[in-house]
Amino acid sequence: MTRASRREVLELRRQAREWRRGRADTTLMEVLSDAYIALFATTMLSAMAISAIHQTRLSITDSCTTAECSDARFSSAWVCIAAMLAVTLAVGRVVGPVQVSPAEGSWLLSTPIDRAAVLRPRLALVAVVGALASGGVGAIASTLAGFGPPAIGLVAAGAMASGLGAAMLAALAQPRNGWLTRILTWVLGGVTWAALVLIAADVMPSAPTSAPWTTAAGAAVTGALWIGALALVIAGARALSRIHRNRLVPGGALLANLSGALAGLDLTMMYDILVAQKWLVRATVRPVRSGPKGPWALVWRDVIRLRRSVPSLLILASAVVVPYLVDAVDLGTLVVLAGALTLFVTGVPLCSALRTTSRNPGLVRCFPMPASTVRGACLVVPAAATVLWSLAALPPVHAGTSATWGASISIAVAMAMAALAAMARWLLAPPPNYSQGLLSSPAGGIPPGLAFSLLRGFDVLILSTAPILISPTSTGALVSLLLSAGVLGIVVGRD
Amino acid sequence: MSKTPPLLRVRGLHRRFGDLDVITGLDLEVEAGRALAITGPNGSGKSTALRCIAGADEPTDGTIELDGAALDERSAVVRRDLAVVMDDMSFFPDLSVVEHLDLLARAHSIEDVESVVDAVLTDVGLLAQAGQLPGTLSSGQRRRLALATAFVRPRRLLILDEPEQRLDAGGLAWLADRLNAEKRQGLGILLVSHDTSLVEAVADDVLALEGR
Repeated sequence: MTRASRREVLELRRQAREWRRGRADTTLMEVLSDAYIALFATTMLSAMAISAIHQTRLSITDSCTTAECSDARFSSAWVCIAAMLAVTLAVGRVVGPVQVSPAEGSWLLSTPIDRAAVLRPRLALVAVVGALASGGVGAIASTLAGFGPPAIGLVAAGAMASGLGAAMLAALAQPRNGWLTRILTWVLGGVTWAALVLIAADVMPSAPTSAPWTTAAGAAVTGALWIGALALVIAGARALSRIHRNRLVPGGALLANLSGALAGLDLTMMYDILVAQKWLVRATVRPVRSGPKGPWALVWRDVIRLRRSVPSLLILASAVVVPYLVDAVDLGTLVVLAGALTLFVTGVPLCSALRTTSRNPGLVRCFPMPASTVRGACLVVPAAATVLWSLAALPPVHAGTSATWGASISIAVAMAMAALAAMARWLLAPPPNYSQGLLSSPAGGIPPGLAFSLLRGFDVLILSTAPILISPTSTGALVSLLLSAGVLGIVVGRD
Repeated sequence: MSKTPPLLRVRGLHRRFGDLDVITGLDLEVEAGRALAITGPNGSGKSTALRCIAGADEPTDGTIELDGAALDERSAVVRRDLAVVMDDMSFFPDLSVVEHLDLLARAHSIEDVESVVDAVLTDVGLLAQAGQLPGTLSSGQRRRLALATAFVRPRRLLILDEPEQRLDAGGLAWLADRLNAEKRQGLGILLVSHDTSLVEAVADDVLALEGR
């Protein structure tokens, strides 16, 4: 950077600081008071979290006494870290990871100032968030896996370096199309999945009876990871000036939209934003012009969508390992709740047509059938996929519930319908209504019941699986099916 | 001999939001093969009237009849006969332009879907964008796609809310020609518009609402 451009950036920052101070609407005492509350809340919540993790560790230590369970527990720490790195890379690729707001993109990046100097603080923020999140996951995973304090420290430090490295790798790939990070994400995801399969199949390395490494060896590996991560930080910082504005602004706009939706606790809107972003990036598709007529045309379009959403299908298919895992750790009938929850979370991407038609009355008016028929048609393919998924999970359902094979089939189908009803409830729920009377809160006026909107879907999931958890028989499955059918009837039939 | 009722008849339409009367006692008729344009300043209730007639909103009072029978948008006949393009039109993010039209044509069980869809695509000028997803279209192209959804399906009455929005000069001329062609085929048209040239070119009758 030349002396002139550095001076320009400093000047710009000074000006921005003056603007902020000129518009300040809080006094120093108010800021200190807020800081005290934030510090107090952070301390209290951290203490609660640490206590909960410690209690969970004790509880797992008491209940996990078999060799298989100890092996699974030991391996799970590394699986968590691999998953965390995959998530870091994936999130980094979606949001940038280095990003600027659309306003900054228009006003700052269009000027001839040194771009790297403007972006350096954002890279630092990405580095800190990536390192802290991964370090936190590493610490929690190794604590729950039963490691000793030195090992927990080393794993956390190593995970922190790995997370930092993953975030910097994503930043390094940002000026280009990012195929390396895409491949790495899928490899790490595949490794995570393969490890989960091995754990579920009781085929995994035995947990060492003593520390698996000496502290010195662990420290050396961690040190090497940190050296690698710092090298990536330097390379990432040097690559900043090569990032095109078109690769900086979309991430900022996406984050702004997501935070707006989150501020309103509207998770479905966050889902809409991510779906829109995904298809905006894709831009074109090879059109398919065939299919049946009437409402079945909508069903056929969902089949075409499945062919276009191979990653979503892969994730859904891979997630079938979860019931097997739950069965492997002997959690009994909870396999049904875990299976339904997994299906709910991974099955939502199959329901994009249902979501689009539910929030676009103008689009629904184009069809010659009532809105309820349109919604029903949009549920056919997700329903078929969830039933197939639940049948793939039949062995652990049978083992976990100890029901007969006949009853197990009805339980598996009821599990699928519970997940489908939960998806429909989540996707078809009306958005928060800010035009009605608002409740006063420290965060301003909020619609009544806003906080409960976070529970949408989960409430139906628990309601519908409860009969099976209480009575894992055909009768329990029938009651569960009736409850799911009732929920589906209400949310799909609503005008 | 009994007189044939108009295609659309609205009598005493009233819409109130809280204490605010947005529409009071609106009467209008649209005959087959004729176009009625509703004009007026912002806030005069044009779009609200259109929403009530299209079944997207519920009037506080008044009657709306299609072919002499009360209009209920839940009825299959009404859904088949009424083609509505309002401002709130959006699209499936994962279906291409041509797939939207193909889906609608098939949902309406029309014959010879491919040739009808191709003809409409050519007519609205989106043939080159057939494989594009809606998110990548310009606002004018999205408007053309919204209009195409009305032209690709069976219809007897077209209800259009400011169809000229975001169209360029060429697009406006095309729209006027297209709507006149629709009239010649015996369709009724009810449109809200701020564009006087479009109103002059298309409308047989004009209903001017007053501002509040």
